[in-house]
Parts: sequence; structure tokens; C-alpha cells
Amino acid sequence: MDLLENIINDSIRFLSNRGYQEALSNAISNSEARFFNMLKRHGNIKELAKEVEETKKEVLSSIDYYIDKVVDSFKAANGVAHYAESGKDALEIIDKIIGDRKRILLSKSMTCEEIGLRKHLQQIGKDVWETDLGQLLIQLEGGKPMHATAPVIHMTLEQIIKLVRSKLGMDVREDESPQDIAGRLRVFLREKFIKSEVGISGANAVSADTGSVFLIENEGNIRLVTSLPPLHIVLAGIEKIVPTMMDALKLVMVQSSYAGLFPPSYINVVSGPSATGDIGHRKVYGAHGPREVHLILLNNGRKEANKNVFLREELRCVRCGNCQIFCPVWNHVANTWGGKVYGGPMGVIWTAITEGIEIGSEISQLCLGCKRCDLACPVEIPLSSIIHYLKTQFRK
Amino acid sequence: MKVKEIMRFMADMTLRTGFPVPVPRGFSYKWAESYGFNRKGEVMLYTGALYQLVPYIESLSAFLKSIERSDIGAFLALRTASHLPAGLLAGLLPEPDKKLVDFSNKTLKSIADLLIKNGVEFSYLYEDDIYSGVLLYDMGLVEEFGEHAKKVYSRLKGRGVKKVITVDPHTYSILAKTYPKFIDGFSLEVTSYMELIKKVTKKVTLNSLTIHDSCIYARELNIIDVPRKLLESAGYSIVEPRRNREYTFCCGGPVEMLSPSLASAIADDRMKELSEKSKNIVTMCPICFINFYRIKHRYKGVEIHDVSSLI
Repeated sequence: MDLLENIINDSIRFLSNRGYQEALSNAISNSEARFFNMLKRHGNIKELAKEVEETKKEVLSSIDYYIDKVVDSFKAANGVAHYAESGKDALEIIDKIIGDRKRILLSKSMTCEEIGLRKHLQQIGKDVWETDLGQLLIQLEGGKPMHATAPVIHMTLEQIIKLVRSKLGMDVREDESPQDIAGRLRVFLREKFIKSEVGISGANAVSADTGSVFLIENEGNIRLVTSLPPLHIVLAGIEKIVPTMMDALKLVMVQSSYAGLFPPSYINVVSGPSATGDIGHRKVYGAHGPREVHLILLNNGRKEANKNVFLREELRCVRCGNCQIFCPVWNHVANTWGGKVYGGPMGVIWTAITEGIEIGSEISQLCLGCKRCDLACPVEIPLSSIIHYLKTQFRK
Repeated sequence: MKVKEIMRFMADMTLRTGFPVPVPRGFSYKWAESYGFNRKGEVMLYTGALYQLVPYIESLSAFLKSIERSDIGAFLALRTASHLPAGLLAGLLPEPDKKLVDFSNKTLKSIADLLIKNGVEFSYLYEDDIYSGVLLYDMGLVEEFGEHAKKVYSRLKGRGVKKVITVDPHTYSILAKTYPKFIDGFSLEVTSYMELIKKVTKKVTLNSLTIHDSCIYARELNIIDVPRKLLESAGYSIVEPRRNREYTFCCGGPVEMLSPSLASAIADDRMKELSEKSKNIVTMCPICFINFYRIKHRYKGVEIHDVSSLI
């Protein structure tokens, strides 16, 4: 059976899961309402989005220059910068950096999913835990994240209780509230945070002028992953680069707004390792935070996509997931409509970028062509036109 | 591979017969037999046969569903069958739903009557009223589409046409926005019949309506207020559904061939939202109509109306 038929079959199974359908439907109507409220309350976000669109275009027009600039700036901030051509290269670099260290924590990152990081680290015998609660549930379930920012958007409370019971052996009662479950998972992860040796995060933006990594979140897990362990590794797609720190701030404001989470509880900025000069006026690395910070810039198809007149437009995606919320197909099947990792309108295109046009073009056939996704995108990516382009590649 | 087989079948059919599915001779202009329109002229009604095709697409889709449960051999048989004469082929498929055939004939007559009563002078293509090819373009079969589009264009030009009146969003959009990219020196003005209606001819027969904007009209052609103004001038009060105007939500129709259950789930979403506002739902596209028509029995008392039947 071919890929498209597999996806259609998976989506039929997903469709017939009442829990998934109920959870998605509730989450989607809430998200849409939040999005329209956000536009009403923070009218300036649209202007910021326009600026982000322009800065992203600027970076993509001289991507090699900006990669070099990030590497220089990151080194100047006493970090170690790497460039990975493929997902496999990135895994090798990460293995080398980690060495014998065993206890590893991950923040939520689609780019880490893209290179299959968690499974790889488990396979080589590491003790790896996701720390974002949604992503932790995905780890327990063994599936893939179902939305760009809300990995378990498809699960009901009931399904989550079952999962936590069976996979973590916790004695969760059926009537426990989301607050109760969050409390239990917090306790479960606390000990892992304290003992962790390595924290691995993604990035929402990387500024070329200072080599700063911007990360937004609401849970507070990213703060801990990036500050408690003595070693912090950042994995960022090269499209995450923006020229300046100010551009990065604008980008994370836009991203969180369109993800329906504005203002985000936390905006983290990491520029190199933790340091102090307080003891004898000598600079010492590793005060309270990590002593060592690595940045891996990942290509994995992005540079090639940047040469394709259609696909290059997708590289300014800020991964807010709003196009998924807007898409009638995604509304019912979530990321089962997609490739190994990415799904929905943006995900079909990201699949073409990271897994190849042939695969992307096969998946693209399930697009309705209704163009609703085009209205959802903060940086005006012509999603429906790109997907149509992929459709034209199907028979080739 | 099944999907590729279906696509190839539709492309072959279109290039060979002018229509993407097997249809009986003369099916596209049967509705117009009693009118005696001029066959040449600068202003031409071009239906692109989308309304007329709906009952036959429905038959093909039912046929495909039945062979989907069997095996790929049936698809290969389908492919061989595509070389049979069209009339013979049409006989292989289940009889189209009579109610759907009536619906499309009635709709096209309403539209023609509206234009006539509004003093719009136009001609009609009759046997040259073939499919626009929009489905081929939407599936990404751009080469076949381009070849077919040239055929349609030359038939229109051969009749001295300068302005085309369309009756559905897909034909309008493909002609106005896509044909120019495939045809050198494209010079046709394209409009919707709705844009030419100044006075409505029917009286209010229903209490309230809810309106289902077509994705293409709303997001590609900015035809949002036109149907509302027509309905309001006929005296209807319109209740807007949760997702309306440019944010309108697809009926699910375009994935019917690939995944009927997904198409039906999407149609259900939209039907729920629409029927919460009114039992009378207005559509302006035959694909939307059929997709709601198919699940209508699950919604007690709900009726689907093509906008032309109310104005």
C-alpha cells in the first residue's frame, strides 16, 4: 500500500475515535475564538507580523551570510556553534557533545522530533524525558505530536488519565482534574530536573547580531531545561535566524499571538553559558546555569527549499500552528494528515522540505483547496498555492 | 495506485469527451432545449456543466466506493473502459439520482429566467457548453488542464464571445484567474450571473435563512455581499453562521473522491453550525449543495436551497 492510502486509512481510524474528535473540536473552537480576541485586543500584532515577514525574507535572501554571522556571534558569547547538514549529522554532533552523560531532558521541539532525537537517544541507552507536559504524554503514548504547539490537542482528559495510569503506574482516580494531573506530573519530573546532566531545547528565534536563542513557553519547563543541567544544547533550523535581538523579540510576540498564547508566560533568552565575575574578579563559567552551551544549526533540506520558488516561502513559517486550527481537514485528522512529523497545511509543506518533494506531493492530495489556511498565517505564506504546486508534482 | 488511476481516468475522459466522468449525450444543455437561445454573440452564458455534472460525479463516486472494497483490478478495468464511447460508458455507472438531475436543470432555468427578466441579453453554447477543467487543475494535472482550457477558449472565441456569464464559483474563478496563465492573449471578461441581477423576481417564502459562503466566491473572488444584497432585497432576513464571509468553512466536497468519510465529517461540522442558525440553508455552488444534500437526512427539517431559487 502506498503512503497516501496509508494516510487515508490512518485518518479514518482517527476519525472514528470519538475522544479524539471531541477533544479536537473543543480545542479548535476555543482557539479560533482566542485568535479573534487577540486581534481585537492587540491590533499592533498585525504590524509586527508584517515586520517579521520582511526580516525573514531578508535573512532567506542571504542565508549563508546569516549562518556565518550567528556562528560568530554565538562564539563571541562563549558558546560552541555547529552546523549540521542533515538530521543524521545533527544526531552525531549531539552524541559527541553528550558523551557519557546519561540523564537527558528535552523541552518541546518539533525540530528535535524532525531528526528523531528522543528515540535515537533512547536507542543508545540514555535516560531521556520530555518535560513539556503535552510532549511527555506523547512520549508515553509513543505517537507523534498532533499540533505545532499543542502536541496532545487530540486527547481528552479521560484518555490522558488512562495513559498516565498505564504508562507511569500512577494511581490516578477517574475524577481527578487537569490541575491534579499537572501536579502529579510536576512531582514526577521534579526529581529528573534536579538530577539532569543535559538539557536539549529547540529555538523560536536566533538573533544573528548577538547569537541569542529565544524560547517562549507557558509551562516553565524550558526555563528549567535550559538552566538546571550543566550542559545545554540548542537545535535550531537555519530558518530560525533573524538579524537582531529586537527582531527575535518581535517574532516571538507574533508567534505566541497567533498560537493563541499571548502574552506567553515566559520569554527565555540564552546568550552563551552562565558565568560570574564575582569571585576574585575572574570570569568563571557555570554559576547557577549551564557551564557549556552548544548551538546546532540544522539544514536538512532547508537550503535546497530556499532555491525552490514555491517552497522557499514556507521557510518564514514561525510555527504557530494557526493554519492547522483553520484547516477543515486538519480539524478532523490532525497531524495524521502529514509526514513523519509535520502535519496540516504547514506540515505538508514542511514534509516536502524535510522528507522530499515526492512525499510532500503525495500527501498534498488530501488538501481541499479551500484556501482558509491562507487567512491564518501571520507572515502571509501562500500556503494553498504551495500545496497546489506540490499537487502538480504528484505524477512526476 | 488507485488515486493515480482515478486521476488519469478523469484527465483522459476530459480530453476525450469534454467531461471528467461518463455522461450521456446532450446532458449539459438539455435544460436549455425549450429556450431557443442565440448560439453566437458577444455575451455568452457558459455553465461549464458543473451543475449538470453533479449527479454523474455522484454516480461515479458511488461506483468507485463499491470497487474500492474490491481490488485494484477494477481500477484497471476502469482505465480500459475510459476508451469506450462515452455513451456506452455512462451505461456502466449507476443511474444518476433523478432529484439531483431535476435540481440542476431547475437551477439553470432559474438563472436563465432571472437574467432574461433583468433584461440581460445573452447567447448560449449548447453542445459547446463543456466542462471548464477545474478539477484537473485542482488535482494538479496542469498539463492536461492547459490542453483542455485551450479547447474551451477556442470554442468561446469561435462564437465571437467577449464576455462570459458564469453560474458557479469554480467555473468563474478558473476562467478569470487561471485561464489567463495558460492562454496567450486571453481576452474575456468574466462575471457571475449574480452580479448582473438588479431586481429580484421572487417573493419571500421562508422565515429566515442562513448563508453558506462558497470558499471560492468568498476568498478568491470577494463575492460576499452580492448574494446577501440579493436575498435581502427579496425580503429575507439572513442569520450568519459562526464562520462566515471570508472565514467561511469548506463543505468537504473536494475530498469526496479520496476519502468519503472525511468529506462527510467536514460536511457534518458545517451542517451543525449552519442548522443551529436556521433550517433553511442557502448555497451558491453545486459542490456545496451536493455535499450537504448527501447528509441532509441526518438533520430534521433542514432544507438546502440554491440562491437562484430564492431570488
